[in-house]
Amino acid sequence: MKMSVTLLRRILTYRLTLYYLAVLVAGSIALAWYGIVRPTPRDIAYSAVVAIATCIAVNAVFARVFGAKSNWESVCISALILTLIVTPAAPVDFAATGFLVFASAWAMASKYILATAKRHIFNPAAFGVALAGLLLKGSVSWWVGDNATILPLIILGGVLVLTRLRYYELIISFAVVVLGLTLADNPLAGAGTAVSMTAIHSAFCFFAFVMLTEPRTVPLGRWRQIVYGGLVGLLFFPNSHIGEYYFTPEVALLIGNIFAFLSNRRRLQRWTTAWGIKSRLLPTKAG
Amino acid sequence: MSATAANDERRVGKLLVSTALVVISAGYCYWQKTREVPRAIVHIAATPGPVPAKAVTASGVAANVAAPAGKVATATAVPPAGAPATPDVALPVARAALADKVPVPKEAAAAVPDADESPAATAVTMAAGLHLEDGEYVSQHEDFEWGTVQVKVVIKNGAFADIQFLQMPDHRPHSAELSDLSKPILSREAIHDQKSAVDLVTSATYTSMAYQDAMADVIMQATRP
Repeated sequence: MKMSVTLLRRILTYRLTLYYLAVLVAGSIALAWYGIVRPTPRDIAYSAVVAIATCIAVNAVFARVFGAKSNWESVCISALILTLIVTPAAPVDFAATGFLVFASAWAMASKYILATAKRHIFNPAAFGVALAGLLLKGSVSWWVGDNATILPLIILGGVLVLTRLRYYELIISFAVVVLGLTLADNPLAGAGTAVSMTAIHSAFCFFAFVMLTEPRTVPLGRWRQIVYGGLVGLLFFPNSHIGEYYFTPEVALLIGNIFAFLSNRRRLQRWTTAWGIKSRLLPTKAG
Repeated sequence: MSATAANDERRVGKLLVSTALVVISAGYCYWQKTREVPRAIVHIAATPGPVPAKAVTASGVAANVAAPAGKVATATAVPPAGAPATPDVALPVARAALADKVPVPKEAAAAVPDADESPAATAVTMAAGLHLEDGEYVSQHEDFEWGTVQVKVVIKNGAFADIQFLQMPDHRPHSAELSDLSKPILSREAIHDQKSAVDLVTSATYTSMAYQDAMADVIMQATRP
């Protein structure tokens, strides 16, 4: 056991996540082949190719212009996440393909445009789909969460990634808030069903294991991580809304990312310095 | 080249490539909006054909299918006058027709009446002793996590003749999309099979459950001894 954990920790986090997502996409295609998962294998494979090609191309341009070192694993991870959350496009469906290309392009661009000190502020995939959902006709289905047959793969890989990252408090606070609110919002008789439906037939597990734990956007420190998980969980809960506006999972994550950014004094300081903003609220090292 | 000049050049490059992406994206969004065809009206053919009883299940696998081979229920899209047929129109139709793309066992096909019969004619007899009073009934609001379902059901000759969706989840774009997907499937199944306990539609599980409750409420209102 100890040896396997040591072995696991020797694998780079990004590479492990990449393998995890590649297995999820391959597993989805295999299950779709037998009709167990609803999208067709052709559509899933086509979406994966489109997302990967777009992400690689846009990332290459931005990395060159911004003079940044590019991590190909990170690019492929974003592309595979997009494949798993945007409804797979049929090759003849130009609107759906356009949606995927748009989301992929902005996911990559956000890593360079919306970044401080060579660190992106927003989860790239979440930013891409949120912007595409806002500006284009269409929405994100988080289809991977609709298929309970993929859930064992999601949980197994997610536990491996979590063991590597050790964001236990983050996941627990997120789960407690989402499931607690689901319990509180349902009558006692139907509470069990509601919780199991949330845990099994929604994007809950994929979101928690893959999106929430993105190392570059998670705040530093245990308590900040607990608050971050709780905040995202609160907004992820289906009934969370402000007036007529209901939060979607990707918007919940983006708001969490803003919290993570604002809670990091050093990053905030670099950002204010870069924009020439002098803030008395942010004491310098000397002061 | 001095370091300052190189930095300036890089800054201009960053600005140019970012602006280019914004301009291309804005152009694409504008093109999408201007070419947008008003949402196609997906409606069920006047004489709905038999519906595969479990065509769309949670696992996506068809089971207990009941539809005559070659005679499947059809959903047709009627684009507004003058609107060209585009993939935008074809997509909801293809989705609505998902339920039809399932294999049909011969024994099940034999047991199903002809597709040309009217809903009332194909109506499955209600449980013994249960009769529905003709009329229009509006269900209670069935609230759940993603919104509210409320239906208006027309009962003729003791059978479901028409179902209108007064409220369906539409707060989020995806909820509206799923509602559009599930409405034809749910109403078709209820009208043909004459039952409230319709099978759950994949991706719209909660909506299907709320719909079942709404239909059950209508049956309770319309039941006479």
